[in-house]
Amino acid sequence: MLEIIKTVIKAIPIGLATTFKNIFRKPTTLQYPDVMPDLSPRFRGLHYLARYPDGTERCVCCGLCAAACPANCIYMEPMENEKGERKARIYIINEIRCIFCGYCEEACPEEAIFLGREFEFCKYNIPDFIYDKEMLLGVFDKIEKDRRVREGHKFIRNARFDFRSPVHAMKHPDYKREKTE
Amino acid sequence: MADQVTLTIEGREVTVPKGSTILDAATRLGIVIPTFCWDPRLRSIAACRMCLVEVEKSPKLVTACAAPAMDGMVVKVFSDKAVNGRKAVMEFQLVNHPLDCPTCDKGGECELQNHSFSHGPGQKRTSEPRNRVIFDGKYVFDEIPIGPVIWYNSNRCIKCYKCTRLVKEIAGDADLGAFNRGYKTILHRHKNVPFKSEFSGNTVQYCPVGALVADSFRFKERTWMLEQTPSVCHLCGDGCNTALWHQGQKLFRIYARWNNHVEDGLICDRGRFGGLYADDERRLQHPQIRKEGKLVEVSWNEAIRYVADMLENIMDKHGGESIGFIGNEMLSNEEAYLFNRFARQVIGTNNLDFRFEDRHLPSKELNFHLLSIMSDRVPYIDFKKFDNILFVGADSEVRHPVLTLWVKRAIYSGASRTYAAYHRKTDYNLHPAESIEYFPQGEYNFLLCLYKALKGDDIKDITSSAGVRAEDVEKWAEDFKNGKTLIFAGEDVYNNPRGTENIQLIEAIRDLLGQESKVNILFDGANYIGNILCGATPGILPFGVDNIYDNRKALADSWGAEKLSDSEGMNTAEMLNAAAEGKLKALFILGADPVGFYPGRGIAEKAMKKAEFKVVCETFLTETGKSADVVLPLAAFPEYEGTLISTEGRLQSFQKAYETAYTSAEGWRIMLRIMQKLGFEEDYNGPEDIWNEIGDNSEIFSNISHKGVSFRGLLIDMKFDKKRETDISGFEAVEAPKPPPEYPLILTYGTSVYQKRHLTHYAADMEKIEPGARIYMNTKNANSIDIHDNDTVRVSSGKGSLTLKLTTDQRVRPGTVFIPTNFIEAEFNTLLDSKADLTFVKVEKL
Repeated sequence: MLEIIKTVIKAIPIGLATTFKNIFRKPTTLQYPDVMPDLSPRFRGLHYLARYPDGTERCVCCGLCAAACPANCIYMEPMENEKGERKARIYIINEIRCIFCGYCEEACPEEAIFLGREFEFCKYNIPDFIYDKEMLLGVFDKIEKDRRVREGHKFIRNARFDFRSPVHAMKHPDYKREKTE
Repeated sequence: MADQVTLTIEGREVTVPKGSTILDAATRLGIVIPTFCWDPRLRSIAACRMCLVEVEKSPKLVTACAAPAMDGMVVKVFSDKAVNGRKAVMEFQLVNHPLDCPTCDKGGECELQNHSFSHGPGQKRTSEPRNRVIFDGKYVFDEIPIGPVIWYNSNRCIKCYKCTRLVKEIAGDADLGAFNRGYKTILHRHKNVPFKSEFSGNTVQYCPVGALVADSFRFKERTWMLEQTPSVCHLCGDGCNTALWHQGQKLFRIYARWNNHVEDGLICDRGRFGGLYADDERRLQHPQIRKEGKLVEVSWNEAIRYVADMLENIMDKHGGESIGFIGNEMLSNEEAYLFNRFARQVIGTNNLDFRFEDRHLPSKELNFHLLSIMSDRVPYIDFKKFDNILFVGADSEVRHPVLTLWVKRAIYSGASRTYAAYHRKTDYNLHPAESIEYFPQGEYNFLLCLYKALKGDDIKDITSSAGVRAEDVEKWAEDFKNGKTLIFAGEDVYNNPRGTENIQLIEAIRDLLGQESKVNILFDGANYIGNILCGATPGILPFGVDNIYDNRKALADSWGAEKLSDSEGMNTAEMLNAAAEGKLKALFILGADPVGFYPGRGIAEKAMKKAEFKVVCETFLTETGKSADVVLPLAAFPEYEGTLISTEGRLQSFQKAYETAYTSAEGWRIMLRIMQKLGFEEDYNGPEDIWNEIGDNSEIFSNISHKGVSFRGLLIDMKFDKKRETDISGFEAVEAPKPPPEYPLILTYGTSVYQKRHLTHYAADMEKIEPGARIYMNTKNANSIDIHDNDTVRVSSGKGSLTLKLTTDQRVRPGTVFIPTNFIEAEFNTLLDSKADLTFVKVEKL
């Protein structure tokens, strides 16, 4: 009996050692959605289709993103716009099929499609996850609007350097200038 | 070994015939040398310099495609000097080439992309902006339409001159040329003449970059997204091998499949752009039944049951002989066989025919005669072995563009001379050809003149009846006596009131010229021979057997039928006449449009009105369909499979690209379902089953499988006995046609080179090439009545009148006018009298 009591008294601090060790640490969980997580700079979220500064879409519907896509979630049909340029008539991404690998972004020769930082796009219906061209351009417009508000309506000269990817950051003309100076 | 040379390439010895190039020798060794401007069908011009190789003892690099292989030559393809030389050429090519691969329709199948990936430098060293040729501010990206269906982008052009050489050397046209010099060179059409050669589409296929783009494929789909299905073109009898490029149930483009023995990679624009009709949305989408005077959409089950019930009623009331079957010459062998089984076994009639565009149809005997001549035919690749090539009664470049291409090659290689006899000039493209124009339907008189001239008789008395000059015919006869002659007997020779005599005369002429000379028959329609051999004519049973009692009995035994009809059977002309008189109670029409295309619209309309029950299966709603009781949507050619026999006698199979679009069904399936409702007990899973049955029962098609003929085709052996009747001593010239004074002109009609019946009307490109129906008239005639180009005129005959735009044309024989038949809005057959052989018209300015 005594031995049992001895063992229990010994075991309690051993068992609670980890608890006591961590009880004064800063918690790793976040009070989401009151506190937003700090995303990695290379985080890949919801897609968007970028525009030129004059408002026309960059995408020329070349089909390379669809060819690169391992999940086959991109579908497109081209058309000729009133200026005689090739643009997308239909551009669809099935976001529920997408595995967010970012190959489409890598493949894009026009730097038109990007994976943004948006991850809060849950829906009640699966068909709502099929994003068409207008919705994807709308995501870009929203990002651009937020940025202008945040950065005091500063006009971003070229949307292609606008994203936080380290590769693109290095391509930015301002980046070079900083280095040389 | 005087005519062989031995050289060393990359340390390996190779022996090639004298005159071969280094490129040929390297290809024999399996060494790939990159090229842009080289093409096996064209003369080497070494324009692109991409094939540079190093030859020992030669101070500079040489172009492999143009340098002849010589004895003892030592060639290095992969030495540093050669590789660097090609790299430099690639760099030069890319200095001004725009980086618009994402928007270029050649992207993915571009030779420049491939070669710059494997041979080129990764970067360019120049910092100047790329040269940009701007034609017109209207077009962004500097693209201009150089023809109705082709766009040209000069910035992308690498100046290999393949397009101009294809058009000039092979097609014999001079529509396209190179202008300016150096880096300012542009390829362009000649001033004010649109690039409209009937082989213009080939320049798009063989352009190594995206400089020439077809309008129908511009900004449509990326090439790597498309699937390819091997097929055979249905729009004429030449049997060109094509590849259908499709995605899902959408047909994007048709390319040549490059069969060396048939089309050699060059197909005409009718097949390339016209074949896209299969993709049109105006297609019939549902089965329709006429209820209270209107066509109402119904389900397939209801439609099939209704057709079977009605046919059974008519068979009970009037017998099977009161039902007629009209097919079309594009039916595959399997469809034709089932069509014949439907009519002969299930209905019990011999009234079936597949020809409906002519009134003077060849009889049973003439058909056998034609087939027996075909057993000794000349294949395309052997045309150049003949010294003289004579076309009689054939508008060959219109009805057989690719066959004519082989004749043109024979001409341009210097081997042959061409002679064309027709009722209008056909030497538009056959430049070195001589031509004689006789009166419309004057084939008989002309052949008689030629025969007598060859025999050395005096022909001065009879030439006027043919409308030709005696010295011309005598000169031709002199020419034919020297050397071998190949005679092409065209459609107008046998679809003629004197068809039998014409063919006898042609055989007699061939005999006079000696055994070395040959006769080829030209058959219009994708499967004319196959339709005859599979039993789709009244007089001939399947497998080319005469329709006599013994054969009928044997066939009935093999089919398990009690008895087949003993009647003579009617051809289309007789059937329409009988239906108009009320003798024929029902018509089953498969893919045919007698109202639109039978010469004599009145009789066809009357037949459709008088017959109690009309079933029409067709892809697009035609005039015939509008007056039918039941309209069933027929699948277009990419949607089913089968075999065809070309005019060369080549059996080829075409594959199914995708499932039938909308709710249409294949011809064989429609017929089989109706037959099964009428008590037919057998079942087929597909055309292959039907083909196996044909093969089991016939001598001609035995041991040939569907797959066996899918790649290169097979020249079938036509085992027909020669039934020769060459006694032509009693033949005398008939009178020349004399137009009455009130109608001074003779009406001629025929297809246009870009069209095939109403079908190509539904291809968007064809409408751009030929925007509307016109009437063609000789300049002399037009001037005499003060009519000029583009005037609107009224053409009237005793039967009706038409209002059309006029084009003056030197090629039309004076005293005649020509109307193309393929335009739905111009109902040419309203002018035609269904009784008279020739129709006389007058033309008035409006």
